[in-house]
Amino acid sequence: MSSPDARAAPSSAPAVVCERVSKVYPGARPVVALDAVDLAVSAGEFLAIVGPSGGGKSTLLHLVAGIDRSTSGSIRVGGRDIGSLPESELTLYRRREVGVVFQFFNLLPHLTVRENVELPRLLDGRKDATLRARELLDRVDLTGRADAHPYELSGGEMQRAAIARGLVTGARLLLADEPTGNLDSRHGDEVLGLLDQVRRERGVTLLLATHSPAAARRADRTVELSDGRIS
Amino acid sequence: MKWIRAVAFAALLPAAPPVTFPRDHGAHPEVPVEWWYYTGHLSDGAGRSYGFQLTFFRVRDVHLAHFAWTDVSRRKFRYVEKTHLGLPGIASAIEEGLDVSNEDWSARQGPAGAHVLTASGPDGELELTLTPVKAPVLHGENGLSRKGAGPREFSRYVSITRLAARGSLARGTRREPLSGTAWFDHEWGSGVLPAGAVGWDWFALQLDDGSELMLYRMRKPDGSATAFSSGTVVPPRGAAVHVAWSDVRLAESAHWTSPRSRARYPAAWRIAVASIGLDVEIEPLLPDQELETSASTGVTYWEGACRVKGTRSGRPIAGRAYVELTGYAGKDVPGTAF
Amino acid sequence: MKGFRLVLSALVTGPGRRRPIRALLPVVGVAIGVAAVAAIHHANRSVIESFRESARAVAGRSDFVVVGARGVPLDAIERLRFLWRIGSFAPLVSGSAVLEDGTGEVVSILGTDYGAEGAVREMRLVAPATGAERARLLSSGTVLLPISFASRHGFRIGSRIPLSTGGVRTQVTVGGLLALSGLARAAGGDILVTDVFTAGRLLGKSGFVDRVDVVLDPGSSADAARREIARRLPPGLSVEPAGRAALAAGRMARAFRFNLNALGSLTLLVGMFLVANAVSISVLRRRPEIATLRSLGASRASIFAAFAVEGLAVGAAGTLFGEVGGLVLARIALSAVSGTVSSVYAPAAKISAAGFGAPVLAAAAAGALSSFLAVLLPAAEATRVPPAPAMRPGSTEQVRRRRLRPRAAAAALALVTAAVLSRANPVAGFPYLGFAAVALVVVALALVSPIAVRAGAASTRLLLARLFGPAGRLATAFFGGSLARNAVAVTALAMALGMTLAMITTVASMRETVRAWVESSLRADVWVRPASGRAGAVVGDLPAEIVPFVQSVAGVAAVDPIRIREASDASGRALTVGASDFRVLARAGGAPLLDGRDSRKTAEAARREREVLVSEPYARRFGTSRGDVASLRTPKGPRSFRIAGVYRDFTSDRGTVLLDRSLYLDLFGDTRVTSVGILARDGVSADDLRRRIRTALHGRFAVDVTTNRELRRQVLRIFDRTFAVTRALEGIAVVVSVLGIANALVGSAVERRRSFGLLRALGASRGQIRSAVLLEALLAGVVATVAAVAAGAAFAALLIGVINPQSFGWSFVPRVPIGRLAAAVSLVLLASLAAGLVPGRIAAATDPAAALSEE
Repeated sequence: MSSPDARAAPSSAPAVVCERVSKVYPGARPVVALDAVDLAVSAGEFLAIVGPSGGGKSTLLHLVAGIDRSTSGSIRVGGRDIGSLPESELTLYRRREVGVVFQFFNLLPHLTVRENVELPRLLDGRKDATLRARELLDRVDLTGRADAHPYELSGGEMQRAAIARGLVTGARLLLADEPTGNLDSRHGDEVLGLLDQVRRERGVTLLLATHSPAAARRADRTVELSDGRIS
Repeated sequence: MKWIRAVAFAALLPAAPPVTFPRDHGAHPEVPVEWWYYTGHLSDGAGRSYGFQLTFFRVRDVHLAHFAWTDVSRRKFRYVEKTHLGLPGIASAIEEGLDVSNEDWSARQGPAGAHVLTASGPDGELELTLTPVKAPVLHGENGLSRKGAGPREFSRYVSITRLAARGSLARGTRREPLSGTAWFDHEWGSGVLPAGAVGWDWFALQLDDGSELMLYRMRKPDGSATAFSSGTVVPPRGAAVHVAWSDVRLAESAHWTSPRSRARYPAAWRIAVASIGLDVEIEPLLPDQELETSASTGVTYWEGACRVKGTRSGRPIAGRAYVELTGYAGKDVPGTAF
Repeated sequence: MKGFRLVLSALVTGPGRRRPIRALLPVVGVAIGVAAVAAIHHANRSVIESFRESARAVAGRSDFVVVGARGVPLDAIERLRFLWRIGSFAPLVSGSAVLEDGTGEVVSILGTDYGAEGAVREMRLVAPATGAERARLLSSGTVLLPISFASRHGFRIGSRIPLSTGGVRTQVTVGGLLALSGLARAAGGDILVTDVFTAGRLLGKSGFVDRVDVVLDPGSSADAARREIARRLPPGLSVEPAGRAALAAGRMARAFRFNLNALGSLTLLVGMFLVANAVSISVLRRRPEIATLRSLGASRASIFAAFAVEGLAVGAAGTLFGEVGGLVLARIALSAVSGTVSSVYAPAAKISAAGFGAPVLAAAAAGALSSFLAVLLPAAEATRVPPAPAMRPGSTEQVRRRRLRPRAAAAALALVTAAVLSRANPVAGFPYLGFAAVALVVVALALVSPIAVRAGAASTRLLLARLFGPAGRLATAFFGGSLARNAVAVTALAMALGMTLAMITTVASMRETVRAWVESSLRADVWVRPASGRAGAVVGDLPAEIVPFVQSVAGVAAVDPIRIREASDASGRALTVGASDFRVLARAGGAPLLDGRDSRKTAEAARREREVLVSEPYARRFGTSRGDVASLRTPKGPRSFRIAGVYRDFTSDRGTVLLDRSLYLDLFGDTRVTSVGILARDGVSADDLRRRIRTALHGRFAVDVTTNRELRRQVLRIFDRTFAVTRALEGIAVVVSVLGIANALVGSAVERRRSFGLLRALGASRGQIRSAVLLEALLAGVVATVAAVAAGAAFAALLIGVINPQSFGWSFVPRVPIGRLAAAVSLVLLASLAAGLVPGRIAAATDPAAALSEE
């Protein structure tokens, strides 16, 4: 399959390198969510992060996604230290270089599926958002549901739409935070399969946070995060 | 220089126009102050005696009226006052003859020169027909009743010193027939209280021998009379005679203090007029015949029925009197306002 | 009970404590609404009270009043003499004068019969104290005045007061000071009491009094007395119940008051929407809590009660603050309203600040009741939340969408009903049905606004996306997405703005019509009027001797001595009678006739046939037109006249009967003039002529000499002052409703926290989110504006076509002041954009990690 997005993509997927990354939530009794985590992900690798709830999986993904900033340590994506980026560049990083799939509320309720998928590329001011969105919706088998609103979709459809949205900007780093957490096992498998397929097709680096061993088995490699440490 | 002018002015007083009746019982709007004053002593069929005073004042456009009723037997004294602008149907006085009214009180010319009075108060509605027993008397010298040295300090002063009164006092359905003797004063002028005077005492005596005596004393602050105090004697028949104050001796022999105004009034007198051989004592029939007229003239004065007893040329004589005392209640002196 | 306390704390008090500012916003809205209502109540009541008080003070204890078409001649009083046996009576002369002490204030003059006042009217002298000095009061040219009035002007006993009245400058002497009770309360205490003769001389009314008040002794038969009085009175005089003047005073300002109250209620309605808005936001935001509480066994009733308590608390707090604000506002409005009423109705009317108690309660009741009503719907909605875990967002919206069709039908029904009502005749001389039609338009607006919001979102989607990119697209999505909430805010703003636009249109139409009327009816080049004070109102009248003086001035072509006075028709209904020299009208023309016929020819014919012209308010009030008969009470008894024409007039809402001067003199024997219109000879300029007339009258008469142009300017100035209050009220309504938009958007920003977090995670910049919220606010403003234009057109049509003609008898040529309307709309759009600032900042500041972690 020859897609316009393959041509537009950077020559190689980014590698992610975390060095002694810590995240402390301040307060009367500070919470250490991540404690000097060292982690390197190769370009194009599918890494599963497993561990108990509250072990720090989501926090780590938020930091890599540029949604949150670490308390100390550095996170380099494609050779750039995203922790030192100013807010405006961090916004551009989120917009262009990383795609995210969350467990729920993945989609904006008042926009159609198509609009949800178009949105990140639109935010970047790109004219080809519609075209790209159509192609990706086709890829995730949602062409027929493009004009539906999120509340009209099943859980699996929502997550497929979220995957399409994650890829619409041409990002080569995809982060998925418990994407199957709300789904039954059949739909969960479907979504995981789709994630794995598109990553291979597009040479995307995929970080998957999950507590499901079945999901983790699909990954190239698995690390376990508990109490904020990699064990 | 000033006094020369004052004297000259006094000498050059306008020749007093002659007084004619019934015209001069009417109003004189050319002067600011005028009053019609009726007082009298009445008795009913049961022998109870009363005194009455009905006065119509006119001060420029303003008409005031006082009606006082002294019930001697029941020892009650009550009065009513009225003030109105001179408006038709409300208060008026015509110029052609006697017709003066205030609300439904009035004094009008009746048949045969009679004066018909109506007035009402808390004791009832009084209706009286007064028939003159004597002709009108013009007080003072040359028809001018001098009150002081100033050019405006005089008045025209007419009295009918004796009128026979007949009428009734109606209260609800009861009508008490009344009869007695009345006195009529009509005075018009500038109304100015002469310089140096603080008030006056006025005496109207009707003696049993058919004569009457009018006296007024213009009072200085020390209580003595000014040079312009004087009087008139009206004999049973014949012409009235002017009485100079030098001929009069007047002494106060008792006093009464008003519980309301706190004014201290003389309450008994001894009066002697040498030229007519009169020496009498005068006593109020009731001590309290004081009027506080805050709703009309604003003047507080004493005006009451009195009895007279004494001698004339050595022979006992009795009679009745009305006495008016002004200027005893602080500054509320008539005349200062006009 | 404890259970309910927990429900309350979970749903209402807890959140309120956490976010006090947000809880405060609707309170502020209600407070402003209540403040506006309270202020209007206060101001109105003061005006009405001062009218009543004045009428009462003058009427005193009287049972009857004897009046006449030209006052009561002094010799007619004689005929009342019989009354002294059963009561008493007191004549009164009244009028006004201008104080020439530098203040230019207008003061009432009352001429009384001092002595009768005790029986009829209370009058208490505080100085001088002693009887002899009091006697001096009885001298002519002396006045008594209330002590407060004296001290304000620095007058003392013996002071000389310079006045101009009846066209003449004169002086009176202060003889005494009155306690501010009884008669002294007339005209708010700005009053000089003197005797009938002095007043007659000052006011040029010698030989007449204006009225005679009659008081009967207890136990006297009122009917018999009244019959007897009527029997004795000469023709042209009548005996009336004494209460009538107070009634008339009440009626006089009723239409004016109702208009103000309607505007005030609009503001309260907007406040009500704010409460509804605030509570429905609470309900939406707390759906999960409600669901949890319900699943734990909380009853529907307790959920309802919790939100009802919230609404009432908001209402109560708002009312409380509103009352305080209302008092402050009232002070400001008071001067404005008094200016209006004074210039429209009575030159010397004045406001007393007494009696603020009842309106406070009224406004409090209005505030509490309206917040209770406002809270019913959202609270009921809360009870429908099922006891299951949180629903998916959007599903409530779906439910609402299905209800749009019946809404549209109901709105259409409301509009049709409004249209039917607008054609109805006034009820009891008052356009109640017209106001009902306005209310129905408001209802239709409320019903239709969700549809408008959706349509607005749908129709602007592409445009905004093209213009503003993703921010524009997000704005329409947000706007259409929060249908329920935005519809409430849009309704409130559309209502306020619609009314504002309608008022602007109405006032502009009135102003334009008045301007055109002034131009065509004020034909004279120069006007001579009694010296007017600072108020600019006509005070008193002029002696007839002024006319030959004016006539003799070189350059004068013609003189029209105009007389305007109060009168009544044959059955005693009060109206205005005017007299003008129809020969001058026939030459120069006059006010335009409604049927478009030539006013010159009509005036000429009317003079010949001894017919009259009537004003439009007269024709409306008495249902007459050309060819019908108008009746008047004249000193010669009742007279009827054929109506030769109906002319446009804005001077009196009671209606005017205009007679030729010769006919008037014949019937009324009143030679005085209210003003003199002067035509200049060709080639003589108005300014020139005015100078000459001023010179000729100088020192003889105290008059204002104005040119036509100046007079027109004055008329329009008075007009503008009259409507200043109206403007202020519209402003308040718009401020309140823009607050509503801000409130709705703050609610949205909070509710959409997760969405904003997601957007940030997807790479939306803060600027993009802020722009989206600002655009949403603007969109709300635009949709509200579109709705407001439609509703405003309906309001304006009702105001111009129904309410004003029915309450004042005035009709206007509609005029749409595009510029002013556009300015108002731009202002509101700017304000709604501003309303997006705070919610935009809140939305942009959303921390994505925190927002996405809250689950």
